Amino acid sequence: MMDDDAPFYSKGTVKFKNGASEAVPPHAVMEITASERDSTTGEIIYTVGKPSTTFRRFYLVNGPMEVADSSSVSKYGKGTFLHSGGAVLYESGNTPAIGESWGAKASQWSLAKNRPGFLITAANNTSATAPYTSAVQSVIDQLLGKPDDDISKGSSGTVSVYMGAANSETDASIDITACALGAAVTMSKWVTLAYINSTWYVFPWEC
Amino acid sequence: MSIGFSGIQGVEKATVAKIRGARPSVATLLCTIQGSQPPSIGQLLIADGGFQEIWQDAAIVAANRRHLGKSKGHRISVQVADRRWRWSQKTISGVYNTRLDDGKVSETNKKSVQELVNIIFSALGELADTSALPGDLYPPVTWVAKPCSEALDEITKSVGCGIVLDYATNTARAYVRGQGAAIPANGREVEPFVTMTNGPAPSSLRLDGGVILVQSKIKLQAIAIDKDGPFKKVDDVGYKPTAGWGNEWPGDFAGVSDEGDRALARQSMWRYFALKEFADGTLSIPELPNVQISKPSQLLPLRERLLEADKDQNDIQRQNLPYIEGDFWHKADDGSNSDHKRYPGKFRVLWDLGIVIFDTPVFKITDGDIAEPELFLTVAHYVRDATTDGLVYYSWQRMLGPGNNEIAEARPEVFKTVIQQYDKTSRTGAITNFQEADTEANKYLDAMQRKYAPVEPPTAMQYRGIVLQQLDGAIAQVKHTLSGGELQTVISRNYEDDVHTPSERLREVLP
Repeated sequence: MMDDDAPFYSKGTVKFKNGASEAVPPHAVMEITASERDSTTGEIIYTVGKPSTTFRRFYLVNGPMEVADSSSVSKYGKGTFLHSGGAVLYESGNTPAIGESWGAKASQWSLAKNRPGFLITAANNTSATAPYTSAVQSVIDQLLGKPDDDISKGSSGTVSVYMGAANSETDASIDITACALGAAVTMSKWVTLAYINSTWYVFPWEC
Repeated sequence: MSIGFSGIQGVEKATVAKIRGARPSVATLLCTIQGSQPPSIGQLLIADGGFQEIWQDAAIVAANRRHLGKSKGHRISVQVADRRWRWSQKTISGVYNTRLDDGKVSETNKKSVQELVNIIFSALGELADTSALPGDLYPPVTWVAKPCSEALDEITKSVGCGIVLDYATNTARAYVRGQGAAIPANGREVEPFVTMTNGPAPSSLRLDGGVILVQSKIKLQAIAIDKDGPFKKVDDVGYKPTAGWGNEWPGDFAGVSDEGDRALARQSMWRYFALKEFADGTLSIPELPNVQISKPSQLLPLRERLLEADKDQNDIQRQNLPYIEGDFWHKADDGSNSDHKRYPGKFRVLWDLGIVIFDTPVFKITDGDIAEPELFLTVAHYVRDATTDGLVYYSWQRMLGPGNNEIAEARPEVFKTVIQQYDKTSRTGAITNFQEADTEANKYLDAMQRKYAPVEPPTAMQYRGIVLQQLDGAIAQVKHTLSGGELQTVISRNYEDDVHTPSERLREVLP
């Protein structure tokens, strides 16, 4: 249906349905909450919303058009996973630079600095009302955090994810349940998290 | 004093009618029964004292037995044609003077009337003097195994000229109608000078040219197929969502609830565009002040090529293709629109309807909403008369005298063109071929005048013996007769005296 040679469509677009009570702005980072198959065409339709505190290893990014809220019949849009790069909103206050890592943040459509998930390629449009940059998305497999309680070797527990600039990391209000498979970890001490075989494992990083 | 042909004995009577054109003159010899078969190709000799004329390469084209009565018995009537009998047997092929849409003759096969006739004579292996033919007229010809005689007659007669075979020099020669020698006065005249009439003279000549072609930049408007079939503006289709098209992702159109309507939307929304007006917002062509255009359908049908032509990769001059420019989302990641740029994608045009169909939806994105793009199609088109709906063409007229006897000829290859020029959407002027078309039309009117204008009144004179007058633009026929041992000659000027020879006009329409 669309021109495969055109820049936007060459990224591999997917259809989504806005599940949020507000319109999705162009180039917004969207959390995928569900998916279904169109009963007529068989096309996969993702239900999306505004990023929340529920941790997602990858996100969908809206195309250049605003998509109406979930109450509208016109709540459908086209987005990309940005695996081949593309435009995405960023949080004003900082200017994305090439090579930086930015990521989704709860309750906003734009990327925030010093977060995982998006490698900045920095074709910035800083003058737009909602500024956007260019980035490539990668699936998140590693995180930094602090356990909420001691987790003994072989047990699982809750780890608070920390994000931010070096030595200024703060609680990102994201909790992950992780398994201390090889060694026990101590409450409030720095740990690293790795996603392996569908499980988050926690590793001690601070004695 | 004799008229004879190689190998034929006992010629008792003969009639030789020498005519103009690419078909042969014929001599009819009435002779005794021959003892042996004469050669089919030979020489015809006309001799009278010191006068002698020879037809080289003449051929017997027919021979019939005739019974003249009990006392005279049988004779053979032999018809001998001069060597132009070969001209109808040789054929010629070729395409010349292809007319480009900008009104110019393609340089790749441009040949004047004179050059075309030289090509034919070259194919015939004949020496010819064609200097009387126009060297600045380029009529289109398409010859496919065309008999050379037909090609010669058609092309020369169309410009008021013709061909004769000059037996004295044994070459072909072109003539201009009406121009040539006077009836000779040599003291051997046997009849009073006869003068007849030319018939009614034309009062004016009219050249009907081809239809006017215009190249314009035309603004397009988005249309869609409505549920009951017709094309409508996108805001007028019955299935338009309540909130409009701004949030409807093209190709999806989830806001169109009915499945059938949604299919129509997917098929046509932002894909079908119709002519609206010229890029400058008007429907007027200043160079054609007498043409009133009130609706874009007067520009139909569109043409598949522009009037502008350039040489292609094979160095052949060809018309360029129509193209689209405008402000539209060029499918960039950032949603930005092009600023009056050329559209790079595929599209096709319904030439008769003036509808452009894009392969993929074409639209504009404004603040995240979808909007109608501003598109402009640069294309060549016709112009239709507002009252008659006929295609507008141009005629040129030349007055010759009083009265209302106008003679018209169609020359569709002569037409006017207007290429409207623009700076984005502002019209900056136009390039026309009006001067060139007027000049060419005048040359064709000159040709028509040669062809139709009155010449000196028809005259004829009969002489004793052989008078070897060559044919030309005025001397239309020379007839020699041998009967009872006496030779006579009739010379006709601006008409043909011999009623037994098909007339020049009849020869033009005979196969």
